[in-house]
Amino acid sequence: MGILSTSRVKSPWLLHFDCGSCNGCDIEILAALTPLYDIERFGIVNMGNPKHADVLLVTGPANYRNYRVLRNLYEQMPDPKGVIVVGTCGCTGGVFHNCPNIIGGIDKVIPVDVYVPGCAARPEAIIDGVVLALKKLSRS
Amino acid sequence: MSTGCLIGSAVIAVIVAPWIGGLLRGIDRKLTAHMQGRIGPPIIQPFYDVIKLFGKKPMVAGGAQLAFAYAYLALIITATVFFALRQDLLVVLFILFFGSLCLPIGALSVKSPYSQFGGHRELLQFLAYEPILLLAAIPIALKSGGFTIANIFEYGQPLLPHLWITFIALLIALAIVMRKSPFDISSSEHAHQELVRGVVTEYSGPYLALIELGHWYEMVLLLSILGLFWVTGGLWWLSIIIALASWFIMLIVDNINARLTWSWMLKFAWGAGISLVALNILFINLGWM
Amino acid sequence: MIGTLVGLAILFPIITGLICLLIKNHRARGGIVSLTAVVLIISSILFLRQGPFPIEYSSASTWDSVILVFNYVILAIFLFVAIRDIGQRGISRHNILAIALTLAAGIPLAIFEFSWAPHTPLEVTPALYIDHLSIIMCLIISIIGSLICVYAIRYMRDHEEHRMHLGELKETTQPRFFFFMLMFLGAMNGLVFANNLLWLGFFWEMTTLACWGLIRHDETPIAITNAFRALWMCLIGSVGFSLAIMFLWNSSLNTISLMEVINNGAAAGPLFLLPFALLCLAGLTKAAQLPFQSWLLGAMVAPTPVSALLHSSTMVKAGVYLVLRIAPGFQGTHLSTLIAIYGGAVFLATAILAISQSEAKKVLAYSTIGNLGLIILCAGINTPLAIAVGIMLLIFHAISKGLLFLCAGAIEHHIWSRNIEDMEGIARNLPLLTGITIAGMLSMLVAPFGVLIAKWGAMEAASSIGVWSTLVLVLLMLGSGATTVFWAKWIGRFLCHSPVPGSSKMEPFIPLYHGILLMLITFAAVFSILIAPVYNSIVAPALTETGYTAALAFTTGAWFLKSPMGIFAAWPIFIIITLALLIPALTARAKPEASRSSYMCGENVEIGVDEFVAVADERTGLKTGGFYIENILGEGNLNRFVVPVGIVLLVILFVVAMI
Repeated sequence: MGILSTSRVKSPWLLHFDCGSCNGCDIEILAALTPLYDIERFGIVNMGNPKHADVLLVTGPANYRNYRVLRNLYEQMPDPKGVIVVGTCGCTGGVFHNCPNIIGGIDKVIPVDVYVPGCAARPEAIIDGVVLALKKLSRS
Repeated sequence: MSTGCLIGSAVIAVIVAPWIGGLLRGIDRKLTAHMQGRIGPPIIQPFYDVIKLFGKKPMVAGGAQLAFAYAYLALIITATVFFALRQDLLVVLFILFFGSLCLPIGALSVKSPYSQFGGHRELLQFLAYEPILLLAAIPIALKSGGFTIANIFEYGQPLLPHLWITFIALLIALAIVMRKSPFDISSSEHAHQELVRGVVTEYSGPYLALIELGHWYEMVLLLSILGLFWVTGGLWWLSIIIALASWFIMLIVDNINARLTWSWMLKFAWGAGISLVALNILFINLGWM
Repeated sequence: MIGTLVGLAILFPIITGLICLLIKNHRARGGIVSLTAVVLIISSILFLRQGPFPIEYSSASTWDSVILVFNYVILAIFLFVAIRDIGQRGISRHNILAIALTLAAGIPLAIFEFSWAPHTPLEVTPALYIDHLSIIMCLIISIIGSLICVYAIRYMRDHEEHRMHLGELKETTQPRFFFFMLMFLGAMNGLVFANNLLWLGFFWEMTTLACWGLIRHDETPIAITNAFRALWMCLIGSVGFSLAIMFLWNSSLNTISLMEVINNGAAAGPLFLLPFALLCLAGLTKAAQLPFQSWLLGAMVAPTPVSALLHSSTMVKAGVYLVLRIAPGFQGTHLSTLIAIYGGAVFLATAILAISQSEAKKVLAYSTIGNLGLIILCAGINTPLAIAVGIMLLIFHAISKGLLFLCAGAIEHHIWSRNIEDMEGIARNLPLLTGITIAGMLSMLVAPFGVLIAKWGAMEAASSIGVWSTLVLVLLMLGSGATTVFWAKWIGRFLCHSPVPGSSKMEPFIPLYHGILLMLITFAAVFSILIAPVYNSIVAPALTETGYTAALAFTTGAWFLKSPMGIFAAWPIFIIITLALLIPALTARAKPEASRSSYMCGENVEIGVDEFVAVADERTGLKTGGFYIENILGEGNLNRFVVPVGIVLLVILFVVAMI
């Protein structure tokens, strides 16, 4: 690995977007930031701004209300970038999958790299998902 | 010092400063994490961040944004060079301010609500610390007999015993320049998300990396100015200790404080900072110090 | 030769002004104004090449009689217009004060000239005293002032077309306008050459008259009111003038020769500082220092070339010129220290007030008052270094401020607004004009340019005056910080726009706008690069001639300027900073596909469209704006403190002069 890909792997900055989940997965994401899991050990930092982020962490199912926002945020992230879907709802639509306002999984709106299933997904699984996404970043 | 020596030290300063700055930022993150009961990232984390940012695709959101990111870095390197060449301290500060000014102007040149917020808040920070730094040059000059940094080296005695009041005021300015709480009102060194990172909101990828690099230079330059307070009269290494101690005080202040409002910052900087330096000048003029 | 040049500098513009008054044809008038400009510029440069300085010149004694008569004619005009105004618009504070102060200035003068003086008219040898300081002023007036007049040819045409279009104006009033403009230049040249205090006083009144005529030019009610305000405030200075003349004649000095007063002032007895304080009062009113700043702010209603002329080369510069001129007379006194503190207070107060202003010309006006305060501060510090800095500031401020006002005028004629908020993003449509304006602002603000070199010198000079330097320095540094904020904020407004789809187009090049602006910005840059030769060739001789040791101010080398305490590496700084700015400004371009909307929480619509999706999926326009903190820093709030402080400082000034 060259120095650039090492750096990419060592410094993934996250953007967290909630498409309308029940907040279960969001709480688990925040748990990963607490001193117990301390993901800053791996250089992971939670950013509030898509322009600074490398990895987009999405929870909840894609829906007609805010898919536009999701796509805008994705477009405002500079390349190379990765998308991780956290939770079953985001992967497939989950329990909401037949609701009239639901499009389905996040991959119906933007390209997704890593799916982290679970209801809710555990922090360990989320960290695992980030590591998987990094593999993609290191290749680009 | 001979001209060759000075030019050599300028070259070394330009090459070494970002390494020191980056390492200090890394240690800062590590220590802060420890203070918060975490393990924290590796010490060389800031270098990973900057290299990664350089490797990202450029993205712009408006007018003259890019030019100001380059100008910011270039001007602050210029200020570092003039510092290493032992030029006039006021001139070094003026160039540094011009550089720092590029940041808010760059932020204001994007039609973006958050960037505008950040730019204006950065200007208020500027209003708070610029007069302190400029005024602090006066007692240094009065004591060492001239405004050039060469004068300070020729003075032959440490400045700190006479100028400790000024030194305290400079710490306030340092906290503002280093974007430390309670003065991190336009954007924070750490990834606090307040107002989606204020002045750098619309900068991304390589341009953000340029700004981060400039910030390292800026921090090292300011710490070097603090180091000038004990640069001669034997025990020259005390200057490094003093600079590092001031830096460590900033860390502690950062971790035990919350962010406060801009009006409080302005009142504190003008009220406490300016009056401290003014007192110092007065004491020197009256011959008490 | 000297006689011819004096005639060209003083009489020629007044005569061509009178010709303009008679000509109705636009082209012919433009030709005459351009001719006057060329003649003035050439004659001022020839003047500089004359020597040896100082030149002492006395004209035929008939001129003393002419000036005697016309001095009362001008005072009579003041009385007439004020009384007519009472007839037309009723009694107001302004016209009553104008009448009272005209009488207060005129009656002592009449008593002096017709009853005290041994013979009428009272002659003084030499009538004119021309040294490098006068020549520097003459160059500023003749070159920058003339360029402003040439610019006005086009500006006034657009201005009147716009007003006729709005129905505010029926027939052209330009003859009167150019009469006052050209007369102003002549009067100013007379003012800076005069040695006889009666002559100085006459030209002083003449500039007041021209200023009054130009402010009221548009004849709106507000313009007329503001013109009267300018009139009576400047007349306070004239009262000071008359009293100073009477005092000097009555003292053991028994002279009204300015140079004798400056050189032997102390011989006038224990109260010798009083005439200096009175002359300073005259200078301060003219320079619109606190608490008289309102007349200059009110003068904003006039067409922009008038503001440019008032702020850069005439009127207010007469005030600071007088203070700089008489500074050697009160060197080392408490009066001097107090003037320094006063100047510092003005600098700080106006810099803070300027932050709260959203009208372009008002920001420029406050910046002018502040910079004049800085010059007054330098005169008060009164060391060779400080006076050198004061003179340099006089030159560089004239260039930059003239430029900025002309830019503001040109921008106004493109967007038809003076509000800074309306200038948001005009860099997109007017790239050349905004580029020049931003360069002009930077020339007032940052490192390689002359104004900053002067500020640097002022800081170093101010550190050397002992205990009181503490206060002066605090005022200076705080003011310097606040100055940066309002300029940066304004530059930010110009540049604030979304990415432009496709390449941006240059606006059409208008020679009388862009050409003159480019000339002025070139002056600012070239003089800043050539700071060392400029200092050696005109500033240093001016110092020596006024009695300061030039060697104690700056020493120069090929690439640096050295003060007694510091060094400014002018050339290296200029080269490096220009490269650091120009290279990215010209080369840093992102590819079109790299453009993205600004961050709006993902609710942005599309690139280049300043809209976002708000409640109920409705597209809403994005508005951004500058901050002005008006509730804290606004005029309404701060003037409650600033004006009383100005009055108190002036009172202390006189108390100090008396004891």
